[in-house]
Amino acid sequence: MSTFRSLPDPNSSLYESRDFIFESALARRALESDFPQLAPFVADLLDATHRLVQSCHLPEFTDHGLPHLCSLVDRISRWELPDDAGILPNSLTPDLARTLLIATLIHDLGMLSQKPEDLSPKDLAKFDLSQWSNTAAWVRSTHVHRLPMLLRRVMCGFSDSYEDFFDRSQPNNIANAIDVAQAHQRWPWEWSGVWQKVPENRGLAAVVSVADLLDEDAARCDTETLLQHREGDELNRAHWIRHILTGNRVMVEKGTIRVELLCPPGVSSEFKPVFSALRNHFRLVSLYEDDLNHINASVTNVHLEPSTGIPQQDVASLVEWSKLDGYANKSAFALQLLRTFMNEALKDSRKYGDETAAKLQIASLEDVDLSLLKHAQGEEEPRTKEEQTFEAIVGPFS
Amino acid sequence: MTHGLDEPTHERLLKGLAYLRRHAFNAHHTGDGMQVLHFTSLAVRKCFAYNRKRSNARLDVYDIRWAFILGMYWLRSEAYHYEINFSWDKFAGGKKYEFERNLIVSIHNQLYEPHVPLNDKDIAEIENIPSRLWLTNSSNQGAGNEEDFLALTFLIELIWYQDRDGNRWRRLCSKWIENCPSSHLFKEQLIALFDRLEFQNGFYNFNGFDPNNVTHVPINDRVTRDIFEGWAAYYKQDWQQVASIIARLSLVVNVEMPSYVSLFYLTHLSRISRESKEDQAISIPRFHAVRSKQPLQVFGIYREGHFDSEFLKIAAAGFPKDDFASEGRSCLRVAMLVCLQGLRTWDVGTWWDGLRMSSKIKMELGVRGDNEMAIDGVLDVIRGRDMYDAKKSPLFQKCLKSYDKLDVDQRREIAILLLNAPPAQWRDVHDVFCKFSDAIPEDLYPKLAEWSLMVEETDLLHNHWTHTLLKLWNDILPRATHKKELIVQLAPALKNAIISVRSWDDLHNTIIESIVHAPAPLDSELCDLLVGVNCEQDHWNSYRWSIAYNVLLKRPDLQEKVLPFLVQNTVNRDHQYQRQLLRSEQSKLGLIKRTDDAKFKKSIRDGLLQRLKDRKNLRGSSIPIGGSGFGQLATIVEWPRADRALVDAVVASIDSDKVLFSDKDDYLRFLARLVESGPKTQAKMISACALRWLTNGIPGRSLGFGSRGPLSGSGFAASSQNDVLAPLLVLTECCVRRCPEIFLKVMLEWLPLNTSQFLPTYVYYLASVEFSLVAAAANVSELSATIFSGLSETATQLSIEKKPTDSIWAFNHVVLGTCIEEFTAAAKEKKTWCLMMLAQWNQRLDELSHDASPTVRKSVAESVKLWKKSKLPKDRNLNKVEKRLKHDPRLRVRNVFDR
Repeated sequence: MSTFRSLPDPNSSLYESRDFIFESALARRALESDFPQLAPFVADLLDATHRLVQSCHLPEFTDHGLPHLCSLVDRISRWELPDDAGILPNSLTPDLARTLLIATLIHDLGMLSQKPEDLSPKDLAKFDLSQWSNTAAWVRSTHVHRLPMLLRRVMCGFSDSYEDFFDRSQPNNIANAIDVAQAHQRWPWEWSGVWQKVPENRGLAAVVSVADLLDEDAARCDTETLLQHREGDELNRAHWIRHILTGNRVMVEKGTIRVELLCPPGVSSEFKPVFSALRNHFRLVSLYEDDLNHINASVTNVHLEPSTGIPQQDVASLVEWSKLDGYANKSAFALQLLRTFMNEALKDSRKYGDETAAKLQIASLEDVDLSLLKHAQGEEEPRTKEEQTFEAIVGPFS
Repeated sequence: MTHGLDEPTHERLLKGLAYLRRHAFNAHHTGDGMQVLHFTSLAVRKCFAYNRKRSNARLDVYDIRWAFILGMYWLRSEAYHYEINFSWDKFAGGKKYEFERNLIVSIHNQLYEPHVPLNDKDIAEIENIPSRLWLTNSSNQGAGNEEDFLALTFLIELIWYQDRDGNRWRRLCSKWIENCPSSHLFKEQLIALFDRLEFQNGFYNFNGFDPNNVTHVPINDRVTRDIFEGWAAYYKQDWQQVASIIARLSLVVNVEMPSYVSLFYLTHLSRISRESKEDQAISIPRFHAVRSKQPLQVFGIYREGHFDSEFLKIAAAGFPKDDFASEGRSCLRVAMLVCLQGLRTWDVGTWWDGLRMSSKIKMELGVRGDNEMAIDGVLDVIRGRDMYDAKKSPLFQKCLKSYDKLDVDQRREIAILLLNAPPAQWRDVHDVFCKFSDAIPEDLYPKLAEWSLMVEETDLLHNHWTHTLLKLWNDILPRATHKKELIVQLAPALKNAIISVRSWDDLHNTIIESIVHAPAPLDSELCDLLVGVNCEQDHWNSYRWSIAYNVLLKRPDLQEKVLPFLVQNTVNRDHQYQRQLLRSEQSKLGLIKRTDDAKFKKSIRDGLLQRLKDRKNLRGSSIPIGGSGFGQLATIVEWPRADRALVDAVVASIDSDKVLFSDKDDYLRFLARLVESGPKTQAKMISACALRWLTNGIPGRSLGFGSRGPLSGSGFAASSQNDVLAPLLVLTECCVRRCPEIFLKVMLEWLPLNTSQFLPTYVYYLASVEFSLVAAAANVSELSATIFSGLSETATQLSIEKKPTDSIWAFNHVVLGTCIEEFTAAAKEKKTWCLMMLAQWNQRLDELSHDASPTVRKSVAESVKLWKKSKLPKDRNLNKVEKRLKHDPRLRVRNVFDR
């Protein structure tokens, strides 16, 4: 008599992630608060995130699902405070820990959904999807704006009892967590609203942003598989590749972060600007220094290896990079990676205002040679990505 | 701190090009022509910049051929074309890749001159494909040398388009197929291309939608094949079949599929015939919405936009013959590329879009002297099913006249082409045949008759009230050499036409000719059919009566068949005119006791007088149609004796403001008849009245000079054309001839200042008056004759452009007719004014014998014939014109000399 073998549970990764998060120091601390229904809310939120990842995640993006959330929760839970003051979650009140947990778990939810109906009427006109030629870019630009309505839609789909969570007049609302989560798309000096007048809230928002900023390492995505099998353009591939250039998982250890950078094989001076930008990316943590201080979680030391120039150690899995479309030579490769960085990491002062420039001075960013980027992108008319790639491959005509 | 960007090297440039090439081909495969052009322009410009700096070690054309080829394949505007021309010389090109270069040059040349076939020398240079091309397999992913194979197939398409019936493309394609190793993927593609183009030749020859041929259509894709079968059913007007195919396809085609657009055209264009229940107000916006999302369709919209903008540029300048050549070529090119695009995907709707563009530009350019192009434009109108709009355009009508300018073989070829047309185009073809008419070579008439019979019998609309496809015979049958045989051949269709009431109007002359020239017993049979139809409506019966009456005139032997009907239909009071005509005819035939001429005239006179009395106080509209019969009848009878009472009554009626204006037309013509045939004293009296009317106007309605007449000096308002000015001028012309002394002086004062006012509307009447004045003055004053002849020339010159026929008719009527003796005498006496006038007309007839209008040429032929018969001096030119017109494509012109 034959017996049926049970099928593998497609939700096993959800269960694992849920266990991981509930067992984290941050969650434990949060659950100490007397906030009603917090545990089922977090469980349902993870369930919803899992479902969205399964069905709606755009192939162009790196991971914004449960592994990323686990990584962030883990980074925060193991965040060592300076002066042997223990770990961050334990220094927070249960209510602050709850806000931080929810904010961390929801901060990228918008990246997993693509519905314009979650935009407020004001944003709907500003971000008219039909006028964007690239859905992924629209999703990235609007994910924070869509968060409040998306979260409500998702959670109330589980239970009507969550309605109160989104009603600011109710004592047990999560509006504060949403505000904190939304802050991760702006620099601290750009934060606005009532929420940020509370110093602890600013501290929590800084923690979410820094934890997210540090989630840069190779564990973030399976670069090799992505390159081999996932549909995407040069820029998507560059995002996948960038993660592999950070050799270690970056944690906060008593006010210090240590980053070990790796180099693609066969590249040379063309890659100097890439590593300058990558180092600057980590240095941007300094911009949150004041706000982290509100909760005694400051990161005062950014230790980068190497601190200048190009890393000595190669990433073996990238040995065939020149076979990738749009990566015909080192210039093209460098360009694609440079395009993945924020303007602030590139220290491209043409693209941000004086206020930002002044604030950036705190971060002691190194100068980035932007000549390749400028040549490829042109200085007068915006160019298509293919045009930029071609310009980078060929070089400038004098 | 900069690491310093390196200058481009040959190697880097090649890498960059490889990258662009890959993306260009990706875009090519998704139909995104705009993207392709973005990449190809970038590649060409950058390489041009690279090469410009180097006198040697330049980039070879070979390395960038993909950009030239794809750029030309997706050509949208002139810009890219210029780009190629501009940069070509800056590329290196050794012996090694001569074939590839020649291929690009050939495509370029074909595109540049879209209406000039490639010559044999150019073809010889690309006939042999070098073996290196076969070393890489063609692939759809932009690898290998895909551009070479794209160039080969594209070039074949271009050569085919410009010389479909020629063998150049077949020879070249066969040679390449032969060249290609059997293991190579491209061999199959070339064979498929050959089969497709061979099949689609039929689209242009009007037989590509033969339902029996559809089973052999070289389409592999099931949906495309089904849509094409839908088109084949459309072309044979099998709407049930079209509906069933559409129903089947709608289950498998959705709006996201490329085939949706093609299916939409079939659905939309058969909507009415299928009696579709779908709301097209929903369907059309849906189509546009979907179309705007498909790159290939969006590219098509851009191309259409470019065509329109180029077309408008030339249109704004009035399509000058020699300028704007580039814009003209651009329009032809875009039309060609749209057609090829449609044919490539078997998308008949897109092909029609291309044909509409093609017809538009070909007609505009062709009508200015390129007759073949003009007619090709007309054929494209039929092919593109654009007849409904085109028929209303004067341009289309002008282009139809270009048919006459083609030689007999070309005319035969085109007529044969149209005879192949499938049912959906029969009515369009028939409309065109109506215009080609007697210019269709006579040896084709039996085939034409065969076609008429077939379409009359099988056309789906043959039961339709307004249907007849026999109108094309209206101008042919009366003139054809072998009309008897044609009538016998056409008998079944003619019989059907005769029993169809509507045809009595549409086919009036054809039915008369058929009965008159039909051999026995067909003639009797046709008569029986005609009179046997039960029709109570007076309007239609009047046409039947006219047919029967004309038959009686031409074939008195058929009187037994038609006379009872004719008599029976003239019994009531409204048919007095017809009754009198019939009685006159019967009397001539001896069928009734020959009426005394005087008695007959008396009956007309009494009838007319009675009528004048009856109608005196009528201004209303309750007058029966045809009621002015006595007035008309009076104009065809001679009135040699004075009849003061009748003249007074008629003059009083004209002077009355209570008599209908439409009646006054007849009365003025009747007076003209009296002046012509009556005694001089009576003519003088009437002439005085005519002068009075010319000065004071005619009561009741303005002649166009306010409340007064032309001689009052008031300005003429051309917009107030009316029925009475023309007969007044007819009367004046007669009066001038009989009583010149009354008119010469007054006309000498009035005409020089006022001639132009009447032109060209009244050119025939005014020129007749002027010619008559010339003749009248000839005996009185040399100076007056000179002045009047000058005025007649002015009138002619001012009108010849717009109304050449009227001018010629006036010349024929007076100079070569009523006043020929005066002009002959003047010519004999070598009067300068006369010789000059004749010389000018000699020259004019020569020029007009080339006119596009057969009516003009026919009137010229009549002039030449009359002139040659006269004793007027004859220029050698006249023989030349006669010879030319005797070989005119139109029977109606040639026949003038046979009569």
